[in-house]
Amino acid sequence: MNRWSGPAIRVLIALAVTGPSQPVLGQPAGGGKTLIMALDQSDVKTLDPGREFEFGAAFVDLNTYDTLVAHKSPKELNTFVPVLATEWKISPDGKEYTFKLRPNVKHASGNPFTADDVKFSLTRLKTLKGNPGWMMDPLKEVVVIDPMTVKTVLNESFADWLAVLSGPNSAIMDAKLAKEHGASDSPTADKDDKAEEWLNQHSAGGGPFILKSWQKNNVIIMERNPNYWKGPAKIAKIEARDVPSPATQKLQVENGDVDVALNVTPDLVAAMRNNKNVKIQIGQSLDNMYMGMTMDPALHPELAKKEVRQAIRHAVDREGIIKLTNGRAVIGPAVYPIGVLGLETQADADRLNPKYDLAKAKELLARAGVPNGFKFPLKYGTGASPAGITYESVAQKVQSDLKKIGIDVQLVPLEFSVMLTQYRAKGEIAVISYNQPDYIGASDFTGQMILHTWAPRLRWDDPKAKEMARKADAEIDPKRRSGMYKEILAYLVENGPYVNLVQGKAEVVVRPNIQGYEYLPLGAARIYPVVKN
Amino acid sequence: MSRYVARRLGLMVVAVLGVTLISFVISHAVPADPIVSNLGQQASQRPEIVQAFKEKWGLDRPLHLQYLAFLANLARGELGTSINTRRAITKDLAQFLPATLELATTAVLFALAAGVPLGIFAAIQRDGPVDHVARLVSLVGVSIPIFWLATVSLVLFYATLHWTVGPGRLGPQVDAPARLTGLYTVDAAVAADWKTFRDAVAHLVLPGLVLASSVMGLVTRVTRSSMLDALSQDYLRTARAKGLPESGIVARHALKNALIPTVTVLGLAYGGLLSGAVMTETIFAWPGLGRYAFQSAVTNDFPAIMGVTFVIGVMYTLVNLLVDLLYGWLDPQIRYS
Repeated sequence: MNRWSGPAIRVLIALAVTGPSQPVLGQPAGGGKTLIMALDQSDVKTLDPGREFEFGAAFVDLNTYDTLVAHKSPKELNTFVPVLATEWKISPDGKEYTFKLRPNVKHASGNPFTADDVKFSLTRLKTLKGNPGWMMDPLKEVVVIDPMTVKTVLNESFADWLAVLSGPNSAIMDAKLAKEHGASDSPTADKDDKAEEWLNQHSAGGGPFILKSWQKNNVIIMERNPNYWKGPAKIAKIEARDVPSPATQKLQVENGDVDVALNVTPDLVAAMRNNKNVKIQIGQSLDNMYMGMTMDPALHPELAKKEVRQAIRHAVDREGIIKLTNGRAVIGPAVYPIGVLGLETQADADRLNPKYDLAKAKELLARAGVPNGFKFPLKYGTGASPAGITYESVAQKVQSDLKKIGIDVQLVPLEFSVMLTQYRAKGEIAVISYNQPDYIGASDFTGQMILHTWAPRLRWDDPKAKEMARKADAEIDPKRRSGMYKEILAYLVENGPYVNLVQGKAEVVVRPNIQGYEYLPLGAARIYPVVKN
Repeated sequence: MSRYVARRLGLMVVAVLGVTLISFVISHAVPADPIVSNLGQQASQRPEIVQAFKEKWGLDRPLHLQYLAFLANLARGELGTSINTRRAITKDLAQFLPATLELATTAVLFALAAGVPLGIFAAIQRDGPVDHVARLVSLVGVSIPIFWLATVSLVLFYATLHWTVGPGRLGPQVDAPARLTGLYTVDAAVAADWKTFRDAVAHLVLPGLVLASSVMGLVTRVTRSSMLDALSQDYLRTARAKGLPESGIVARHALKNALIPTVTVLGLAYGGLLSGAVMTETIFAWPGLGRYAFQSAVTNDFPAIMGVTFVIGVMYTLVNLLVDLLYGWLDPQIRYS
């Protein structure tokens, strides 16, 4: 080593070593511990519940606001439990939901919680016309019956209304506080509401935690709400650090600098299986990756044939794709996650899934008049996908699988947003894309597959499928409704333009001293029950 | 001299405006739609939501009016509001620019401290062991991919040897010092908060070294070759003939001239580091300008793209002006007119 730089580097390393690794400042008041999380927040644009539509923001809103009702647990997503509503009644026509509200609840500000807060929050979500505003499309009006009773009136029967109300966007705000900072639920709130910047730094709710600050690309800090109606949380403070690199998150959680690492990729998690300093929590993600094929013969005469699409569904080796994820995935029959009403269990999926059968695939191709196969271009996004495996590796697998029945897939990788722009322009022959739920309800998935979103992009307009979807979405008897979605899924396997490719599992790495942390789709986790020993 | 500076500053305005115009045209010519990157799949099907989004961000106006709006903002000392952060871009820059300035300055200082001596000694002992080491170091420094170096150095020095602190500007549960400049080291020192100061410095070391690696390679190579060139000049032969000691010749006569290309390289590299540290900033969870610029680009956050372009354009041209002024100090033969 150069004798000039030798001492210099020793000084630098000495400086680095002397840096304090012990927590010194910012200890939470009133006892309790700080939960330090590594969370990729690159996507977070806003924390305003009326405007946010991103994973990191959903996490913050879920922990700083309460909703009227909630999904019972990550394993029982189709059952709802009371939160700010203690009971509810659905009118026989499915249009009116009347909620009795929990008495003696105070927001973090000390303001009492009343029916006006519910009216304000849901109306504002609708009139802001923000990214999640469409979820309030079914809502006609919110009627305050008395301070502790509120009725939501819908335009037509909509069975997933409780699912929508359980999501982080349906957070109940402290209307008085929010209005003081410029929030509005007027019909022109998209122009009148001035609260976003304030709501990005403060929460206006009564959830278990209070948003203290958000420094974009750096850290989100929440402190527990001492007046929380269920009693204060065990964790005194949440420090969600923005760590975009999965490899860095892995090092931090292994080193004990963070308690929870949320975005460690499956290949890196696999390397930690024998590490006693970490626990790997596995949850069922509801994110799907799928292939969509055009239904328009003008774009591709072969793919537009029903038998050809069936042949492709029989030829894609989906067990092989699960192997590519090291077994960290499941696969359902359509772009519809296992765990949701109608596809409650793996057994339901097994019954409906198209079977891997090359002979049958070839027979179907022959029946379609293309026994020797054909070519088609397949567009997909480069980079990571939410399903825990890259689009590229799945696309290559599809290519090699379809080669076995004589179909020549030409792979067209594109930057993801470019791919999505082209896909949305409704002129693509075949794409690999993904879906993350907007709310955890069956209608979200049938809506996109059949009624709007992807169906028009793939030029699929099927009156029968649409009728089935509309009826199921309106059916308020859960048992009957579940059967209707099973029929829809079977219809999609037979006729639809989709090949579902993979539904990932979420793997969260936590330190062994963290108890009670459970992965929750659409919002990462509720920190309220978490304990740090 | 002052006329020269005034003229350069005038040219700078033209250059920076040109850069913003080019950047505006390119970012709108890219075949990616801001609706796609900013609205969800369902929201982008609802005409009223799309319309509200376009109105809010001024995307419903013709392109030339959008650019004029940017210029009008600029005239008022504003840069508009970012779609990604929903606040004034001047506020964003005030947050992200100091983080990057701190890191880039550290990296340049490291590169200077290691690269210049190494280049000088390599030139003096041409083809000797130091020269071989210098050439190897500079080759490795220039050619090693920075994301790889960043990851490996974290694995080695942070996770395995525990010699350095982890990523980020400060450790977990260490609060940022009261804001004065946004440079944590400076703000902590001003507040005489030495614990935070030490923590901030400690967090600068590893990313600083990683970022310095490529610049150091460049500095070493340029210093070595210009030093070799200087050492073979007639005026040095004269100096030697006069019997001056070799160390004096190197330090007083050769070095000053040899440093001109080094300063040029450093100036350019510093400008590059301000916007081009995306990889290092991502891996070290550094909330800097590079990541902000990258996010703005991939989400078609046009106002932020323009804001970043403008600031980087200004910084780049200013650094270059400074470099040109340094030439005159290094070589008095250079005249400004």
